[in-house]
Amino acid sequence: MAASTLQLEQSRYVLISEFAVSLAAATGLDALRRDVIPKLRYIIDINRCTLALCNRESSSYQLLTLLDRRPQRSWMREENAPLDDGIHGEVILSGEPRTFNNRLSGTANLTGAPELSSEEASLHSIMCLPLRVGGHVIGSVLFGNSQDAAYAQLDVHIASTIATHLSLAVDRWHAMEKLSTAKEEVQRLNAGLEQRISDRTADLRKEIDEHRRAEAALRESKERYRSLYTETPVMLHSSDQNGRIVSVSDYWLRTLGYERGEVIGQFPTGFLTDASRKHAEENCFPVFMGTGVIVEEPLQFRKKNGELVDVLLSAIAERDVNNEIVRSLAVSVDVTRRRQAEAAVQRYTSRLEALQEIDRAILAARSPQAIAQAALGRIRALLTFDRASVAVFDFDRKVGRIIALHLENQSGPSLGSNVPLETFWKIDTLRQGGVDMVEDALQLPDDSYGQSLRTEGLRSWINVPLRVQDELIGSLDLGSAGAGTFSSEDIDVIREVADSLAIAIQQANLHHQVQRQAAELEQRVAERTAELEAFSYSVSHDLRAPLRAIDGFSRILLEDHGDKLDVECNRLLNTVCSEAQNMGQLIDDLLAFSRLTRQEITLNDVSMSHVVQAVADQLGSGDPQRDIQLSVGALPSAWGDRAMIQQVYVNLLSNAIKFTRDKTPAVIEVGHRREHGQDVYYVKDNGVGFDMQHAEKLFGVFERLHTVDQFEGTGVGLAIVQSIVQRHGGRIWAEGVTGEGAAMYFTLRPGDSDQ
Amino acid sequence: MNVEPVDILLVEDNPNDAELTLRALRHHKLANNVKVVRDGAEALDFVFCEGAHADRSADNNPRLVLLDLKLPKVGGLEVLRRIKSDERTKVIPVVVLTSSKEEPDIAESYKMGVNSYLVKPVGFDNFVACLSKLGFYWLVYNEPPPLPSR
Repeated sequence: MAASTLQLEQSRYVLISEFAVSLAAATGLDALRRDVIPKLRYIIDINRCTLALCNRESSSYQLLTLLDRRPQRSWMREENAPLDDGIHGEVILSGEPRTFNNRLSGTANLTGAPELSSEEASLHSIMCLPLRVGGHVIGSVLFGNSQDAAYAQLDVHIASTIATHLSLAVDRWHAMEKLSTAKEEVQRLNAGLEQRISDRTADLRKEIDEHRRAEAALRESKERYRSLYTETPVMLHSSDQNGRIVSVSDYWLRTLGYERGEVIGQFPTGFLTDASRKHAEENCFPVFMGTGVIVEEPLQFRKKNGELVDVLLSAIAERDVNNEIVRSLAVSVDVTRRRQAEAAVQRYTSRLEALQEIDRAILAARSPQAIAQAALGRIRALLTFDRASVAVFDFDRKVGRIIALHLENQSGPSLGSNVPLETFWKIDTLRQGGVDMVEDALQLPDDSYGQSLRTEGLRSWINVPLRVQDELIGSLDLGSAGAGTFSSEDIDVIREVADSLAIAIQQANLHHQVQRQAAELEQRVAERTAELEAFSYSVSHDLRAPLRAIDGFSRILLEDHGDKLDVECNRLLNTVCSEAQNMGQLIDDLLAFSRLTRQEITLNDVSMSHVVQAVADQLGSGDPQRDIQLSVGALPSAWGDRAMIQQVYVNLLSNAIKFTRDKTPAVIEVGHRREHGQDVYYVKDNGVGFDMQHAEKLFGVFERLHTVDQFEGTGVGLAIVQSIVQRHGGRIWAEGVTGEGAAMYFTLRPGDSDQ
Repeated sequence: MNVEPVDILLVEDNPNDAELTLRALRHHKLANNVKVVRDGAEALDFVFCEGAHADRSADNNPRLVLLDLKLPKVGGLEVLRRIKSDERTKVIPVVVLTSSKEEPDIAESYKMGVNSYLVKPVGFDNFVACLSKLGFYWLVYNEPPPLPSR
């Protein structure tokens, strides 16, 4: 027995040392519960183990259940209890262990035991030991068993050892906890510090970055400025205080065709034309020295190849502290194209003006010579040439006549001269509308054509056809003493002028022709009129004389010898006399009619009432035996020839009186009415009238509707009336009923339907 | 030498007209001293005492000239112009006696200073009446111009 007990004791100590090792390895309560406490079972027979950790400041302890193997018990409870409560409190306050066996069976050493908590109420055997560190009680540990008398003296001793280890472990944990808190504080402080450091670092980095960026930007800007200066497509040049070029842009070089080496160190004025250099030195420099600025000065550079470049030059000066110019920058804008465009517009405008001038000449339709001369004058404003002429062609005579000439040198065909067609013009070319141009006469073959040009001292020459509707009528010729004077644009201009000129000349020719024809016609009319007058004169003179003789000698025969002739002879001779007189009347009427058609018409405002009154007075004194009732209505005045209109009323009223001879009373009405906006005048009577189917014949010369036996007359009266009315632009017509009367109507100006 | 005074110088190429005129004048006893010439040239010779009439006395100018316009050789208007543009003859009354009613003649005649212009009527009765009135007027009623003083 003793050996086995010893062996058991020895194995328990081994277990206790293992427990102590694992306890030392445990880092806290969780590790204690998980790794250490379960090993206790092999050292002490326990159902339950609790740990109380004292908190003196609050006079309480924290109760932690480390192990509880009892059925339906939660062994993980943690709670706080006051120090004067329970067996843990008693042990902590007293610092003395308490051990109970058979507590419920009333064992003597358990009497007077404090009341156990409900958790421990079921434990029959209990060992509760204080945990001490350096003389201070820091808590207590309780081992309990549900069996009575479970722990012997050895168990108490072992429990005491375990409590010592636990005390050290708990103290260590406390220390570790404090250390950890301190560490955290340090870490926290460290963290704040690090943040500040990192912030500051970031700030610094940013500053550095910015500085670097600024540096880079500056560098880039310098680069850019340099490349801007050299590569920008603008003519730039800079000069030093002596005015010599120190730098130029590539564009400057490219535009003027120089290498940089040819330019640096030179004076800018050396690249200007003479005129521009003079202008720059006399006008620009003084201004620049004073103000330090030149703005858009128009100057002209000369390229290396001799071509000209128009620029607008602006410059600005850089001055030192003494206000001395140390450097200048000039910008030249190439406006050659703009100048060319402006010049083109100018030329175009002049061209239009020239053409308009020619058009005006067309309208004026003066002589071809005047038109051609005006055209040449206008072309001078557009083109340079030494000789210009306009020729019109006469293909029948095979010559061109120079109708206009502009001459700088006195040579070549003169104005008005006729030039052989084939010698001076390439007629076939011109006829097809082609331009004949010679750029350099010196290179022409030595034929008559080339010779004729050279003798005139002309090297370049252009002949432009004057054509009207594909018909060649002449040529516009320009010559110059220089070679290659005429550009293609010039040719366009000359062509346009030539086209207008051709039309103008043709127009003038036509005008001239029309005038000549009109003059011829007028001449013929005058001749015809003279013939007619001569004829009338003859009629009046030569026909009347025989009639007078017939009548006269018949009378003499009747007077001197009538008594010797029988009645029949007398009647026949009387008939001869009266017919001779009739014929005389016919001739008089015919002459009156003829005279009327030749007579000039003189228009005036004519009071028709006055005219009718005068005629009525003149005719009324005719036959006092007649009972004539003449009524004259209101008559508006008319625009016409008073004498002629009076003749109209004389004839109409005479007729009315004549044809009412058999009526008593004779009723004659003179009146007026408005019809279709026209004044219609009329004369009505209640005379013999006429059959309307003969109305057309009324107005013919010598037309009569009655025999001479019935009514005397020659049949000329109404013809005269119609002639007068028609010469006024008016119209005459008649209405009549046989036996009841007639009405004659007339107007004195064209009606709407007559125009 | 023909010194017989002439009352009327009749310038008329048409013999019929001349005869009718003379008859009409005679009818009224006005034709005692009528000189008939047949053309303008002779009329001028007579008036200016030239040619065939060179021996005529210029003192005895006709008291009246009856002038036809349509004349051979020298026209009536020319005769009129010569008479009226000469100081010696411009006072002689000249009456144009013509068949023509054409206006230019009338106007021309008056411009040249004709004293009357008469268109001969075709009808003989009218013609006679016309001539008699004319003759009476110029030879009887009218006071002749005073003879030029010498």
